[in-house]
Amino acid sequence: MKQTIIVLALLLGGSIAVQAQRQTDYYVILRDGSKEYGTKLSATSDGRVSVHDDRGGKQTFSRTRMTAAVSPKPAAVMDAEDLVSRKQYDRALTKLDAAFKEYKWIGWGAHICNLRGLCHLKKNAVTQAEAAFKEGFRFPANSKTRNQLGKSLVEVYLQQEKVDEAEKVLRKMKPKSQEDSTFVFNTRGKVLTAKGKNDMAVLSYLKTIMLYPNNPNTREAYKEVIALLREMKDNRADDFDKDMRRRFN
Amino acid sequence: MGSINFPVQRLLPVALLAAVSIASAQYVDDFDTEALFARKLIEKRMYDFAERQLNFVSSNFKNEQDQINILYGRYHGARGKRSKAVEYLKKVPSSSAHYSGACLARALVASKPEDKAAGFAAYLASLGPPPLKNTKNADEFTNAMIRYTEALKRLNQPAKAEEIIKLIPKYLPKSGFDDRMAEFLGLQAKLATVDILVDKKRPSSQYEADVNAALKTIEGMMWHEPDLITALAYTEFGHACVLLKQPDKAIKTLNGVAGDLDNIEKALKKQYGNICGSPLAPAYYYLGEALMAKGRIARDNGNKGDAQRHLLKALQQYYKCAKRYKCAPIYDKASQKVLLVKDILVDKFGVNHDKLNAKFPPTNEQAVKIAAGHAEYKLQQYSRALPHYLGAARLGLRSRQAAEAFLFAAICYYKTDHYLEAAACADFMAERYPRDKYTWDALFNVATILRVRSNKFRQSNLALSDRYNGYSALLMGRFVKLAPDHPKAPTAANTTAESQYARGSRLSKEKKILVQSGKSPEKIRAHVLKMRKEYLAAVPLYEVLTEQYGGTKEGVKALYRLGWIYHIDDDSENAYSYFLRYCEVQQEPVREKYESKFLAARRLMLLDRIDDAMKHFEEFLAWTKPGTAYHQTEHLGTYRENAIGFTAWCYDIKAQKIRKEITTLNQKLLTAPSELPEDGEADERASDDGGDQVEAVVDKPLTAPEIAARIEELQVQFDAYKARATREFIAFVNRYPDSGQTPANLAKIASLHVEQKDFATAETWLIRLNEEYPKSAATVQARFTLGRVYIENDNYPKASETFGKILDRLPSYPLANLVYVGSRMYIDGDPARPGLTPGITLAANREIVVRAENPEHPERARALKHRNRAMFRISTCLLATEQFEEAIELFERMMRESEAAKESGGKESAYYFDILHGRGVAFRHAGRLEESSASFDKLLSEINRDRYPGQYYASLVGAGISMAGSDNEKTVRRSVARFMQVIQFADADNPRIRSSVEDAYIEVARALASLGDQERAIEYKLEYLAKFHNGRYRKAFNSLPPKRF
Repeated sequence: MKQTIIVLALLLGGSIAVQAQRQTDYYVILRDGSKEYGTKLSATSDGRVSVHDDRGGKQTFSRTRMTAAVSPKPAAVMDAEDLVSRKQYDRALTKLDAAFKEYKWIGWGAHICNLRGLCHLKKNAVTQAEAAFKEGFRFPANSKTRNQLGKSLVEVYLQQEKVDEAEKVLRKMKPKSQEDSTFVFNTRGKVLTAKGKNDMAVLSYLKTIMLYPNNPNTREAYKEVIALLREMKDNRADDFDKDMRRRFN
Repeated sequence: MGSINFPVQRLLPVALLAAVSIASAQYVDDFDTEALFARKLIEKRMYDFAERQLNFVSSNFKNEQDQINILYGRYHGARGKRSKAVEYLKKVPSSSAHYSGACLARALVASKPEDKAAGFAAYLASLGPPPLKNTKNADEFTNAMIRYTEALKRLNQPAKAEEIIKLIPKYLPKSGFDDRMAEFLGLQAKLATVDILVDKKRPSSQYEADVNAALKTIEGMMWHEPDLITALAYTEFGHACVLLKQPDKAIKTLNGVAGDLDNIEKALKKQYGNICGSPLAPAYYYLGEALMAKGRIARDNGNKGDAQRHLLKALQQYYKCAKRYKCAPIYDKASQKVLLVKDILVDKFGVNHDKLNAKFPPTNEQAVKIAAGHAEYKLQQYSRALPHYLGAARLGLRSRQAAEAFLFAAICYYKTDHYLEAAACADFMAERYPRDKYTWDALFNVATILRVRSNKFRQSNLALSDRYNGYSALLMGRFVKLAPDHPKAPTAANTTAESQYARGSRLSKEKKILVQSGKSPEKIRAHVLKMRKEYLAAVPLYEVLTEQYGGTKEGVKALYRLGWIYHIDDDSENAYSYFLRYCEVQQEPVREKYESKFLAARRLMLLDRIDDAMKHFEEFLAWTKPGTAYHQTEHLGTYRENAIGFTAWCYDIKAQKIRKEITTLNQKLLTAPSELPEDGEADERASDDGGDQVEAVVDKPLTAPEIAARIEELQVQFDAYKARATREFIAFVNRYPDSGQTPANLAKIASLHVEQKDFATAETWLIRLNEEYPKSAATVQARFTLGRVYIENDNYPKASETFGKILDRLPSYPLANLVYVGSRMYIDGDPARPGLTPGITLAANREIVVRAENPEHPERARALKHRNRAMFRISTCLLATEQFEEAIELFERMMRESEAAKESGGKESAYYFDILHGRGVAFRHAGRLEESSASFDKLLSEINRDRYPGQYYASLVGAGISMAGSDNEKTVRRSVARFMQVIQFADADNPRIRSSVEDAYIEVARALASLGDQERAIEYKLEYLAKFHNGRYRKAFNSLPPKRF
């Protein structure tokens, strides 16, 4: 009996825990900053999101009332990611198309668009990739995903030599990590080089080198600075070369 | 001396020093990140990029003006431009939240101790009451306070220095820097400041109160439980007692705690692995000081034995300190004292030097001597400090301290107005210690001083000023090469180079004055050479700038300057290369950039690299077309105008080059193999061996059809370039009628039409040139073309009139033009059709002869080929102008030359018979009839009648005429025979002989008439009239001479 009580208590406790977990996994963030939690989210094609409670009730929010919807990563998206990692881009795209329809308004639109864009890019379908990345910006997303989309779009623009467009995207990016910051600095360097503003490009790469000396992107910045300084017939190229060799062995 | 640094480093918790680092950036495009980046660039001395970053920050963060001003202040301060730095820092109002940063920056950039102290005081005041509000700035604050006390020490403010150190724990309560530590450091700073006053021999009343106050504090500290601070407090107690002239008290106290101090030393050694911070070091030193004081008292009391004993004991204590604690802050002073006491014992007490050295072997005397020099130096006794420094340097040239000694020696030299010695010192250091920072300082300081002196002497003693300037430039050049990373290096290099360049510019202005005042060309040439030399002296300095600071503003400008220097020196190769490099690195649309582009193109044009020149002229014109950024810049119009003109010239030169190629190909065409046979023979042979076939293809000369095709192709290009050039020139002269190039371009248009044989159009252009720009050099030069055009248009009177105006300019004309004018005495070479007036052809031919006879004339070789013909033409002209004696002289000379040439195995003159004939005519006109006849007879005896019938019969007639003029009847009768010979034997139908036959008829009639044989004269007349219906002498027969004999 005692054991049964313990088992029951454990089960009950577990279910309470699971329920509590679910309560915090599905929610929408409203314009005033408050959150509306539920056990499930669903959305219409025009972007209205319904928050379902455990009693079968639901509350629907239009896109003007909320800023974002949050839900756990769907299995379909995880499967697609798996396919992408195994380089099965066509299958991944099929999966992502389906997932996009279902989850785009409940927190995964931007992420799915990014994945779709990456698949297109791998297949050298640059125009479709660009469209996918651009579409990603239509959906609410956290800064990490938005920055990821921004980075992808910039890469696509640079591939197509659309320097001004790349510059516009970079200007809008708000990096919150060293990784993103160095990406922005280095990519700005590339854009400025393409525009023939070599001195300003060096300045941008130097930001990576001096502000984030231990970042993985720093080595690339070093290389670019050295090449540009050599092109500008600036003897400091040799100093940077020595410095890079010393730091990166 | 410097004792405050060590305890601070030792005592301040490591955590404090490491705690505050500048927060790492996490975002882009925010002010903090951008400002941090700017500061990093300044720290790394990448001033060019720092400046760009500051410009970026100031244009993108206008709301952060105060912080931007501070950044600019730091930037200029780091570059050594204090006044500019202060200018920016002053812009930060006291109400600003960043005012403290501005105050601190002002203190850091100040050079004078009072300015530094004022800056730090303002900084401290701006922070408000303790504690420090922003703990991020703790490190900055601590460093600032330490620097503040250093400044106060130099200003002899011991109490204030102590007070400042004590403030640190108040502002940073959580730093671990407690009040006791601060108190100790404060009193130590105070006593160190008093030491300076004592060194300066100030009266004790000035510092006694401070020392007493310090002593009281120390006494309080001595009761604390034993630790490093307590131990150090004891040593400072000894220090204070010595300052208060209480040596016994000091000795007693210090000896009393020796054991405890030893224990502390052991603990320190265990903890840090060295005894640099041991309290025993200052204890020994102050014991020595106390014993010295006792010795001084004994000496003053006349007790020499006691004085010597105390000195020996003092020496022992100093020696212990100097020998054992080489890394202690007190070491320098102790070593110096060892040397001093040794000297006193030897000099004043007669102690044996060797014995003394045996007991206290010398240790690092060099450092001691330097320290002795420093002591005098601090008191501004430079002439007394100098021997110490020189002595120190002599002790060991290889030692590390020698450079320091030399630096101060150099400073002492120039402080005592021995500038050249100072320069020699710095120069020696550059050779011997190129990597030592003392060398860099010496080079920079001495070079700067020399430049200042040079400027001072410029008015009064130019030669000395030049010498100083030369040394300054040399030393500064070395400084920049040895220490390119030195903060002052770019500015120094630039200033020196600019100063040198300015000297060149000054001479350039003087040259203009010389030209205007009409000085002789030799003087002007000498001045130009001097000017170029001055400019070229700046080249190494600018090169340093371009090599070391290529990316800086100064480095970029140096390229422009180098371009100009080589442009002035007429070194096109270097000039264009630097101008183009400047265009490459200069990003802004400034005047200098387009100017460089234009001048580079011009220099390429002068180098005959026409394709490159055209490319750059066209780029220049594209850059500067209306609506571009350049179009707003000054003086652009003139450059554009010239570029358009030069582009037209480039097209023309390009066409000339193509013409040369065509000429070469035409010559090749004469020797080119005919086309390969079409029957396949050659192909079949070649197919036997593949290798041969390839070789045959490679080495195969162009065939005639191929060359012809190429010529055709080139001709098309030639026509296109010529047409383009003509179009461009016409567009230019119509667009820029006031341009200096317009007259030359008008002349060019005319000559282009002349080339095309369009003489009528050429004449129009030349008339326009003549009318609109009558005084221009191009007009004068173009008169030849105009004259030629008149000739080609068969207008010889106008041609003669035109050439008549340019006779005095003949020496400036090319040989080909002279030959052309010289040959136009007769139209188509026919003496019966006079062309240009003889005076003109005479002058042209004379100029040819002058050139041929001038061994230095560049056209001599070509002129020599025309000499004989020109001489003959001169003589003909002389005959025509009735200058017979001169003509005879010239004919005689030509005869002599011809005979000499024949004798020496060469050929006689091609004009030999013409000369003989001409000479005969000249003699006759000069009335020397016998010589005339002899000349003709000589000709007739040598000439082959069948080969030269024209000349033969002409000479027969000539001889006859000379004879007919004689007063001797017989001779006249003999002349008739000559004329008869011609009439009977010459073929009157031969056009070359016909005129001689006509001459013979009239002359025979005249001779017969003068002999009174009218009948025969009339017979010949009738015969002539029947034979020559259009004869020249039909009327002349009506006026035959009367009978003479």
